[in-house]
Amino acid sequence: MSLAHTAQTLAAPRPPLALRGLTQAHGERLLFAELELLLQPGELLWVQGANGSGKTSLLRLICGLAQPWAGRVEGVEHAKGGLLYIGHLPGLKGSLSALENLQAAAALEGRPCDGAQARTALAAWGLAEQVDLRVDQLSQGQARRVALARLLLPEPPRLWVLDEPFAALDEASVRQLAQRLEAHAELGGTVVFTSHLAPPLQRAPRTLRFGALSN
Amino acid sequence: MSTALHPFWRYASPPQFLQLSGTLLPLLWAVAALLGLSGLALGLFWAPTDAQQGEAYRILFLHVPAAWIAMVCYGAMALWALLGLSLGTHLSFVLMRALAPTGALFAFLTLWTGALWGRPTWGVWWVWDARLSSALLLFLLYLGFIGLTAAVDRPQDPRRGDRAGALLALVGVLNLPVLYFSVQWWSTLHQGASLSPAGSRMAPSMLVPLLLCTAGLWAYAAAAVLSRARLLLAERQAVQARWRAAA
Amino acid sequence: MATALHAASALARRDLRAALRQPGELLAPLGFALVVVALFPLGLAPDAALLRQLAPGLLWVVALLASLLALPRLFAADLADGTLEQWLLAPQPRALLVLAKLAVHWLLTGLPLVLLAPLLGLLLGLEQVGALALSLLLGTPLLSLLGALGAVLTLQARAGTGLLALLLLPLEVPVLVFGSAAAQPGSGAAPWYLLAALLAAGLALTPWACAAALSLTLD
Repeated sequence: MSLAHTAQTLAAPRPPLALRGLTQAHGERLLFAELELLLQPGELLWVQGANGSGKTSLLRLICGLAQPWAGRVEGVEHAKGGLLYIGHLPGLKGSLSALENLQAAAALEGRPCDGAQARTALAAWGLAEQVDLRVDQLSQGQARRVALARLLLPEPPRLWVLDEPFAALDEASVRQLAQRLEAHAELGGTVVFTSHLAPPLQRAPRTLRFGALSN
Repeated sequence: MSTALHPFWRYASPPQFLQLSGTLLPLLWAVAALLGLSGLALGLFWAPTDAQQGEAYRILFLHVPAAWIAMVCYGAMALWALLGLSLGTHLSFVLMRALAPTGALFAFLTLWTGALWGRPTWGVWWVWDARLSSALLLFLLYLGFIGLTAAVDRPQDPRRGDRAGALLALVGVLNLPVLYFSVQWWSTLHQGASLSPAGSRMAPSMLVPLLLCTAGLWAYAAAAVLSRARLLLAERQAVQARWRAAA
Repeated sequence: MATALHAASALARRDLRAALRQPGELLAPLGFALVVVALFPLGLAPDAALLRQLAPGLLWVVALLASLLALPRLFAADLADGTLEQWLLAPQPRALLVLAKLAVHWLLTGLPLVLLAPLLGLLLGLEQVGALALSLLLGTPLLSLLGALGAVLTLQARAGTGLLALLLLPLEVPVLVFGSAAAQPGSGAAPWYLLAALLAAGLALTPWACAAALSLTLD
C-alpha cells in the first residue's frame, strides 16, 4: 500500500468492513468457513472464484440479504448513505422508463435526484437516447447500465457491493466503470465486487479467492 | 450465549437434550402404555352407562384429552417458535417442528371422535357447532404449518423453513383466540346444534378413567414429540458433520 | 421522516404506474368473481328466495377467493426483477414501505371488488347491497393485510396458490364471520364494530409483521 493510501486510511473516520468467522452453506454444500477479512475505507475488494463458489452468497451476506450459518459481518451501515447494492438482477421495473426507474431508486435511497441529474447520469453511460424508453425494451447491457447509473447520482453511499458489474458492458464502459470505482475509493468509499475478468484498474485491488486471501 | 445462564438453558444444547430425552423416553412410553390401557379398560368396561347418552358417551375418554392436547401442542409450537426466533437455537426449531405432526394427529383425533360421538347421539356424522368447527380450523392450521415448512425448506437446509414456520406459528397463536371467539360468536348468532358434552355432570367413576386416559395420552404425546425431535436433530447434525468433513 | 414518506410515496407511485401499464392482470380477480357468482345459481337452483338469503355469505366467500388470486403478484413480481431486495435494503422504515405497497395493492384489487359487489349482489337478488359493499370496504383491506403475510411466508415456497389458500383461509375466518354477518340485513351494530376493531388491529400489526417476515425469510 502506498503512503498516500495509508494516510487516507488513517484519516477516514468510518469503521472498516469486517467479516468475522463467516461460514455459509448452500443446501448441502459448504461454501466457505471461518472467513476473516478487514476492509478499510478507500479499498477495493475483488472477489474471485468459479461459478457457484459462493461469491454471490458472500456479497448478499455483506448486504444483510442472507443469514450466515456462523460468524458475522460488521461495519455495514444500513442507514442513509451507507450501502448500495447492485446484484445479478438489475432491480428495475420493466414497464417503467429508465428515467422513472432511476428516480424511484434514488427516492428509496433518500438521495436527491431531479430529472436533470438523472438524465446526466444516464447520458454518462451512453443512454441519452434511451432515457424515456421502457426498460423491457432495452437490451440486457443497456438495462445493466441503467442500474449502474445509480453510481453516478449525487450523494453516493459509502459502501458499494456490486455483483458482476462489468458483465454485459462494452470496453469503453468497462474502463469508465473502473475509473468510477477508483474515484469512489479515492474519496474514502469502499467497493466490493465480483468479476470474471480482470478489471482495468490503475491500482491493483485486494483480491479474495475462496480459500486464499491475497493483497 | 453466556454460560452464566440459568442451568435450565444447558438443555438448549443438543448433547444435553439427547441425554435428557434418552432417559425420559422409556419412562414416558411405559407410562403411556400403562395409564392409557388401564384408562381405556376402565372407561370401556367399568364406568357406568350414562343416563342420557347411553354407551356412546364413552368416546369422550378419548375426545376430551385429544382436544386439549391438540390445543396445547399448538401453544407449545408457538412458544418454541418464539424462543427459536429470539435466541436462534436450532433445538427450539427442532422441537417446534416435532410438535406439529403430533398436534395434527390429535386434532384429527378430536374431529374423528367428535364425529363418532355425534352419529349415535344426534344422528349425524358432523355438526357445525362452535367446538367442532374450531377443531377443524385448528387441524387446518396444523396442515398449513406442515405444508409451509415442507414447501419452503431448501434440501438439507432447514433454516428457511424454520423461520417461515416459526412466523406462521406465532401469527397462528395470536389469531387463535380471535378465531375461537369469532366461531363462538357465529355459532350463537345462528343458534346451531350444540354437541357440547360439557353439559353432563361427571360421576367419580367416570372421572377416574378420564384422568387415566388423559395422563396416558399426554405421556404418549410427549414421547412421540421427543422421539421425533431426536430424529430431526440427528438429521441436522449429520448434515453439519458432512460439512466439517468437507471443509 | 420526510424522506421516509417521500420514499414510500415513490415506491407506491412506481408500483401503481407499473401495474396500470399492465392492466390485464388487474381484471383477472374481477372476472373470477363474476364467473363464480354465475356458478351458484347453476349449481344450486335459480330459486330467487334461496339465493337472496345466501347472497351475503356467498359473496363474502367469493371475495375471499378472489383476493387470494391477486396475492402472489404482490411480492413475487418484485422478487423476480430484483426490486424486492432493493427496497428491503433502502434506509427507510420497512413497515412503512410495506404499508405503501399494500395500499396500492388494495386500491388495485380490493377496491374494484368493493365497487363490483353491488352488481354481483343484484345478480343474486340481494337488495340491500349497501351493507354488503360497506362490509367489503372494511373487510377487503384486512384480506390484503393478512394476505400479504401469507404471500411473504410462501414467497420462496415451491407450492402454488393451494398452499396459500391452506394458510390464509383459516386465518381469515374471523373476517369472513364478521363481514358476512355485517352484510346480512338486520344484524345490528356488533359485527361492524368487530370488523372495524379487526381492521384497526390489522393495520397496526401486519405491516410490521410482514417487514419482519421479509427479512427473516428472504435468504
